[in-house]
Amino acid sequence: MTSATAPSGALRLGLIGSPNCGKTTLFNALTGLRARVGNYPGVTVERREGLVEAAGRRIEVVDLPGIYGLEPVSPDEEVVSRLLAGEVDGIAPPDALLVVADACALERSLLLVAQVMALGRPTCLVLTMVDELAARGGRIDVPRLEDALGIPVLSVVGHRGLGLDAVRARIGSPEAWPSPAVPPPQGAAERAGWADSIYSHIVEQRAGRHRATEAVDRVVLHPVWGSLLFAAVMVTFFQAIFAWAAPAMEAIDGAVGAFGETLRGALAPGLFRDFLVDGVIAGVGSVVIFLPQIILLFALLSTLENFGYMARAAFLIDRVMGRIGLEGRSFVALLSSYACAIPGIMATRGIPSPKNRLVTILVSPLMTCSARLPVYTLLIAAFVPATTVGPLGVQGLVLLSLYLLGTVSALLAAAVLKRWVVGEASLPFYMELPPYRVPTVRLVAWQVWDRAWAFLRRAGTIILLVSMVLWVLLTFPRSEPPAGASEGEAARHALEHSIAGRIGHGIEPAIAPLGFDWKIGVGLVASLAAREVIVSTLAQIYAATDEDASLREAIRADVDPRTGEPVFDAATVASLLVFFVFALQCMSTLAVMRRETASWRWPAFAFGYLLVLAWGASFVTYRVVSLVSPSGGA
Amino acid sequence: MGLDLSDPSDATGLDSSNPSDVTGLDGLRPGQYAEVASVEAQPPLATRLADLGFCPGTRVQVVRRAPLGDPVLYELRGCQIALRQGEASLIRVRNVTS
Repeated sequence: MTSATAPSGALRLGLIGSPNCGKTTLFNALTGLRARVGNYPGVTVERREGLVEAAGRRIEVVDLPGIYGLEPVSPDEEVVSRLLAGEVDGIAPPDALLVVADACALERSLLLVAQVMALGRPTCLVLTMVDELAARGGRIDVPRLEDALGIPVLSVVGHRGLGLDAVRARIGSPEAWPSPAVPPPQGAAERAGWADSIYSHIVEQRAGRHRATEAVDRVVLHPVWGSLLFAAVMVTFFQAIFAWAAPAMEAIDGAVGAFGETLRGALAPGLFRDFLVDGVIAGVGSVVIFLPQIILLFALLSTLENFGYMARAAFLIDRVMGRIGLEGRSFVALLSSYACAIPGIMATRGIPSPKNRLVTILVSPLMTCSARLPVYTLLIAAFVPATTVGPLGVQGLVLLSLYLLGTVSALLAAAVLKRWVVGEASLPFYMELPPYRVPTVRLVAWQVWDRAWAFLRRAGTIILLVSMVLWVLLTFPRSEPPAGASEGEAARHALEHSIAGRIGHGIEPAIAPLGFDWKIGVGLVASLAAREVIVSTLAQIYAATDEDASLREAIRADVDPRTGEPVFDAATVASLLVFFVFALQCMSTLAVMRRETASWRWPAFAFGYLLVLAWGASFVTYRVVSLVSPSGGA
Repeated sequence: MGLDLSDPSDATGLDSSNPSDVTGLDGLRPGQYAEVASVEAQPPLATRLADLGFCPGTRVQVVRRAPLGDPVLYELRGCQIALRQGEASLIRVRNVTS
């Protein structure tokens, strides 16, 4: 039991309620601190607190994760029940509780109200979305409800700020809240009986169905129209994260490069300048380059989620995901991983079952993230002929097959991990489909900002850090280039004799069976910062003047000094592409995995199994392609 | 959405059966109502189903099936909840009406 964090005099007030009940909107309205609000069950997982001054008193408002009951079934509920019991170190349990309930779902919410009232703490019920209840023709007698429950009951319309003054007036003095003479009965059946008798006593007019939801679902969940819409959403999704984001990404790439060169020109030559330009600026560049895609991804997901579509998408695809032991909500997380595994892993918080969540996290790096795209593009452009098969370009087909290979592998890996490693879920599938609600632009914008910021914090710092370490590895120890070497040759010489160059040479025996030489080895080490860094590292190794045409020419022309064979023959290129499909060379993904699984065990496992897969698949690819095209060269 | 004639569960002829007969919730067609008689699950599933409102006496309506046949969407206590057939079969219902 600890109450260390509550400053003297501050009252701690917990907001408790089921997912989608409007709890977070109420929290934002009360504290002025906008927090995440979602229409997708289980989105409120983070701990959020805010300060309110009410009735001359400082109140710490705690936004608890959305829960269905106090007997913990999911990890979110575990957190809530431990917090309420004062078992979370350093966080004081709330002194009083506001139970937030969607007025349209009061019949169910009373089950939770009964459980909270049994805690014996000052409790107040806040009914949200009373406007929606009225619109659906429903009417409840609030004073009568107050009487029947024996606790205060208030009504609000959170997003319009109606009823908030009454809430503010009340939360200042929980000591004065009435409490029930007899607490509600416990035990599921008794609780249900209690809830039913109260509900029938206070309901004046039952709410009709949500008409819009019914009408929209008739299309969205229709076998034909629903599937077409689903496909259209997917196409839009990929269009957004690839095509729409591209111009902004190129602009950022150009701007960061130009800024680096300006700085290089302005500063005196030396280690500090090189560190700043090649370590820090390049590192920042490889973080912000992802932002357009991440922002578009979050904007799209946030809109669809708040509208209520993502829950429907999960409902539509659940059968397919069930085949591999996962569930519909895993699909949403895996979909995000096409942009980047980090938002994908962050999105697994919506999955209540810990085992399904873990498996989804472990396979998300197999979904082809956008950092692989520059690598694929370089190798395909350099070595795959730009011919066509019928109406289809061969280069495009190769790219598509790499995406398919990643996706199919993720699904197979999920099935295998679920069955033999993680085990069957103890928690079965259940999902609430909330009514459709049109989100405000402000809400979506805030949520995008919130998530993009989380991405920058969690992934950005790691990418930047690894970029700086990488610069050190690629720069030291410094060695004198041979006399008369050109600038490019000198750079290459320095690189070969650097720590990274030595690591490249050191791991050569391990990667030689895959057809990789030390130069690719250096690139693989460098790609730990972010996969696409291998492109700029290769450019440095090959002393290329740019990362497009000249790098393509340079890697095409590279010849093994011992055998006279090209370094990049068809087998090596295929093997390298396959290696990138599987290997988890991304430190920030590992860091986020650690954060989400609360140990290094699972990130270590993921790194290991994906490395074994990558090595094995690349080895087989190298052998097979070597046999098929023994002459090498594509 | 009309009748789903291909559904094998239709063969049980629930409409003509005695209203006091107890059957699995998974056997109901979209549009049908029933009253929960008992939930034959163990914790944590039993806990979760109770929290979601599947308690004896609660009236449940089948809203629709997912296009691939599973899961199925149910409406109860003012909320819409999707369950897979496996879990729904553990919820025993009676007084099935259309």
